[in-house]
Amino acid sequence: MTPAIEIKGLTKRYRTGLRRETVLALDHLDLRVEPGEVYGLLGPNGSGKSTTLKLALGLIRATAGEAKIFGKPCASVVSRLHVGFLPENPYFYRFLTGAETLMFYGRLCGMSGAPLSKRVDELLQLVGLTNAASRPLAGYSKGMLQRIGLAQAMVHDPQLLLLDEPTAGVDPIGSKEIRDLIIRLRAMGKTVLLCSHLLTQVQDVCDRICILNQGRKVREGRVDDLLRDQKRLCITVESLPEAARAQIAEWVEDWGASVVSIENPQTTLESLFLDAVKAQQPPTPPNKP
Amino acid sequence: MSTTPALPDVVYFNLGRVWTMALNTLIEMTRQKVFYFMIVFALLMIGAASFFSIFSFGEEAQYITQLKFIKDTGLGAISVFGAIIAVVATAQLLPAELENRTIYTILAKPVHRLEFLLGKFVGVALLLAISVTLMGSLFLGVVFIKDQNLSAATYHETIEAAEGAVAGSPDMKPETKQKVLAEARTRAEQGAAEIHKTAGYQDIVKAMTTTLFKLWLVAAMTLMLSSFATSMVFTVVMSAMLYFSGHLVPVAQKFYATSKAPLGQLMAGVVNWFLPNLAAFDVADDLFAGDPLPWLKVLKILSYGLFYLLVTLTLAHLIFREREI
Repeated sequence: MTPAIEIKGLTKRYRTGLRRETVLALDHLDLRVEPGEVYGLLGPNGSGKSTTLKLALGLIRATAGEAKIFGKPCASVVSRLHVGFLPENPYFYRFLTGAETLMFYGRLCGMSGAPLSKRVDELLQLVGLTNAASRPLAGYSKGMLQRIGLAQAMVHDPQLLLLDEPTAGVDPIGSKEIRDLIIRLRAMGKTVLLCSHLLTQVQDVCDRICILNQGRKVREGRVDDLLRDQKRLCITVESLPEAARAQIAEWVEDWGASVVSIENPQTTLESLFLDAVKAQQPPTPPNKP
Repeated sequence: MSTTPALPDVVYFNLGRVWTMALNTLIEMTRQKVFYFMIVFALLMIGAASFFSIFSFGEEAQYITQLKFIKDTGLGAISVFGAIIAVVATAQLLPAELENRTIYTILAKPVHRLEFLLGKFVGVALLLAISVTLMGSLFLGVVFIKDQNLSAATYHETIEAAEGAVAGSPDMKPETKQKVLAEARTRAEQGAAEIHKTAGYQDIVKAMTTTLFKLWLVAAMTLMLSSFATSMVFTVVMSAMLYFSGHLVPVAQKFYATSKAPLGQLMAGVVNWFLPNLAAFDVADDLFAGDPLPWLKVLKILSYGLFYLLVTLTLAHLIFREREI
């Protein structure tokens, strides 16, 4: 099967300043994202994530190597027929309303008439902005802009979505909704390339990840495989009496192993936050900034 | 179930996408209240209409001179206001796209860079066409009112003067009186006709058309500069310099033809060969001097503008195509 994204030996050098000094932003990167995968691109600031995305979208040219989307070279317009992109911290046209923004992007993708209007309504509902559809984006909150950004990326129902920090500036409820949306997109057979600093989120939604550092790939693989500690074992039990703990520890030592810790499992802060907030508020997200 | 989409070999250039970009650019600029300049223009026109009616000039019939000055002021103001809009509105297009990251979302769609750039230009061109039409309509309205008032005044003043002369000469024969009054009527009609002719509505439309082409060219030059510039200030300053240099092309041509100094010849040659002669679009001076402005001359000017417009937009495209975003 043709990979959704195929990157081979991709290198990018920037020339900066008056002296035209070169900065190596990406160093011989190899990457392959299969159709239907949710792939996470991780790395500290300046590690080459955004450069990889820009190269994949043909916004900049590679110094060496090649990148293809669904088998088409990234420099060609045809490679972007089935791509939706959400940049980091998008602003969009401040004077257009939410609905007008989606209509505009839809028209650029060759859509028109009733099918486009229907699609715009669907997307506004999907990202929870139906009530704000006729308001100019100048009055949108950061989270709302992020959601309209996601909607524009999906307007032409692309097979591949490139999302750069999709939850930046979004509150935990909105963040969870975006995470759920990505999971839903995977169920629909879409491919998602996700750049994020939120490691928990990446861990929750991604099938595979790649960690970049200083323009180089330092790790790549399935999330489960990378996170599994083969030497240690964790057993979660319920209603175990206190006295039994000592017996278990003895039993483990009889087998030549050692108990590293016995403790109550903790929930995540996100779950705690969501439970606490949802107990107080109606479940639908607010549209007002 | 995941699917790999079947993609065509090529995505062709599409005018529909250019139009979508153009309308979006126009809507964006309209909502930024660009048309507020119309209020200033209206005030200027009303001011000019009343200012030029309070003094007379030389030997030429006072009313004709008034009308000429109003026309000159109006056409000049349309040209200057239009140039400001052409430079400022165009210069901010690409920087705003980059700052708001909208350019990333647009070029991430199946959109050619040429479609994006042309769309931006057509948007500004529409804005300029609307602006010139609005200013022109207002200007024509002022000229029409002035024409009506002044021709009526000329007519009545000539008749009244003749009637006064006749009344002041009691011993004038009745036939002579009638002859004097008939001559006065003819003179009055001629005077009114002369004012109508000076108003020259067709010439005003011609002058506005050439001005609009000049403004489109200025906008294209600004877009070309901003296709590689990294700052809006640079684009505005350079565009303003090109604008003024473009108006100096006839001077450079003259200098080029007569100067013997090598450096001067070189400079004049550069200006002469690389800059469009923007002064060629300014026909207001010809109209003020009373020179005829045949359609053939207008067509020549428009063809000249179209040629430079295509050259400038091609250059802008070649630069923008290679730009890293």
